[in-house]
Amino acid sequence: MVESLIGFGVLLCMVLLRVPIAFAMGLIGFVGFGYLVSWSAAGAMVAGTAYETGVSYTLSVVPLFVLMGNFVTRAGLSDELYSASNAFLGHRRGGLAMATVVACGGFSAVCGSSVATAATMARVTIPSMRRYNYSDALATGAIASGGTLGILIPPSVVLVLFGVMTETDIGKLFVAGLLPGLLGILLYLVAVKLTVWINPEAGPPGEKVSWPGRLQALKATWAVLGLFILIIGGIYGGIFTPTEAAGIGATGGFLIALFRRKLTFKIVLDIFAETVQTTAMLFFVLIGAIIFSNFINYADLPNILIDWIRSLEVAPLTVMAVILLIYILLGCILESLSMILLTVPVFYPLILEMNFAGVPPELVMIWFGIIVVVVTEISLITPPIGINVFVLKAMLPDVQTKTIFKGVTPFWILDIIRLALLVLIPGIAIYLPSLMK
Amino acid sequence: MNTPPPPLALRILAKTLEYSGALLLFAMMLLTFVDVIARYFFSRSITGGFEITEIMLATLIFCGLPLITLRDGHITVDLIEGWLPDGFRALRDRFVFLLAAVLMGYLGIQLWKKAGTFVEFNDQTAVLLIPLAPVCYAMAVLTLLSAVISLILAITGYRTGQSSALPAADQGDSQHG
Repeated sequence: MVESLIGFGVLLCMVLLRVPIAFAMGLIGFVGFGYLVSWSAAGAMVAGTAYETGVSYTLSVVPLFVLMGNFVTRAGLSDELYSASNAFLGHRRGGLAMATVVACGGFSAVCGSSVATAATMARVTIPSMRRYNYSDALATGAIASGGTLGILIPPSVVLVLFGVMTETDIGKLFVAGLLPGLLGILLYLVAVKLTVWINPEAGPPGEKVSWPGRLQALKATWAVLGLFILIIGGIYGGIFTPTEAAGIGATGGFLIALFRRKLTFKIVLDIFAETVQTTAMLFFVLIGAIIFSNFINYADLPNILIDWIRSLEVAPLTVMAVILLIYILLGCILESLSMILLTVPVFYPLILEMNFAGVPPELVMIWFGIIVVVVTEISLITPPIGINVFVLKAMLPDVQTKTIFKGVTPFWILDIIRLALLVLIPGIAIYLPSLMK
Repeated sequence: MNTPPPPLALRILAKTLEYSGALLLFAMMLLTFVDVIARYFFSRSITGGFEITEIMLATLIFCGLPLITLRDGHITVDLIEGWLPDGFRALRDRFVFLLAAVLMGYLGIQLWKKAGTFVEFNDQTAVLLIPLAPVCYAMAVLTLLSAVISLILAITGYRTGQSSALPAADQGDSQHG
């Protein structure tokens, strides 16, 4: 117990001093394991973890889905998505911001990253919202928050890593993200409504588009829709494994970008090289996290925690509430992915031990995975280091960070409501996966 | 503060790794795609396809390690960077690169030893009987290479938070959550 706490403390200090998270976790895990077991065993464990993580077939979905995201980003599909949602929503007050939220959701369906979703949609939606005199707060708030849907609506890199850490079916996790993702879009639309209700000047209405025009715009999004239905439908119907779906998705993204004449040899090479580096970055954080969790498990932290909670005799939902509070606080200081990888090994044995009303034991990890991802989405827009906010700040240097955080506030509040709904009504997350074989 | 242009050797190294990684990833994408098509339309699958995928995945992430080391591409937390005095940060950067060099050096040596045991027991994959030792040696060499790069960055006093140590190919946004 003491060893684990010291480990966490030193880790936090190192990370704040800008030691790469992968190295900090790896070092602490190695030292802790060596101290508790033996140094030669620790050396073998480190090499074994690096090797086994590298040759993991399940994890081959990661580079393929990242690759797909990079291709669809380059293919310019974001423009069509925004025109289509704008055709339906743009004429309402705050309509352009609503269209932004919906387009972000659509883009999330072919891209597994929140940062990429926010960055891509900002390029498309900011010019038109500025043309219609939208307030910077509403415009940036809608993009930063809408972008967070990237890690929830499948495919999602974060869900893959969660699945690997907890040995949970990745296909089911993907399918479980669908309804909470839709709920997220709906609640974000409410957030836009609230913003323009309080301040009607924030989002003037745009032009109304006729029905033929709307259908025309909708038709243009066939590529996104087709790709999404192919991969997620394939996983849901049990036709593809997630790895196969990722291979199809990456090839599909490549072909779409190719046929839209967005690719040159140099661009293709850049996309592949960029994907290799992103993948390496993700894998080394994962390797560090596994080394760290080997130490934590050897120090028996999860079991100590379980015994302690049992002795307290508190209700499972109270435990869940405390865990979520810890996540929200950690999200203020830690980068999102490392937060998940560090905490999940500690919490998931505890969650598995408990009985939650309305959650069958075989689906409890799916439910917890979605909850963890939603709470991580919240951390992406929580001060002081909400990364999506800084993505927008980097793209719009003339807007103050304070303004963006102000714009995000209504979305943040509705995120908390969504989190509460997911905890209290588990069916939102587990209904669809419960229908799968 | 301007960094001098990177030496030719580094640029050649980076290009080589980029091309190798890109090629591996492209092959992996194609292999998965062809495997699915072959299975559903011709009721055949590529024998041992998953073994090739595994080996390609391992090699490609270790190809990426020297590249992200070179470009300060590891995930870090910059929460208190603004409050730290510049002199402290310069010293800290050297220290962190040195630490990374030591850690990757150690990992490289351990991987090399592991490869040695693969040779000893003649370990190979189950279906295609691909020997595992070369894969593990490649991982070890690429990790040791990254350690050397990190050591060079520590000695030359490369500063983090700059765009890149290399005139990078389009780096884009990091894609993690």
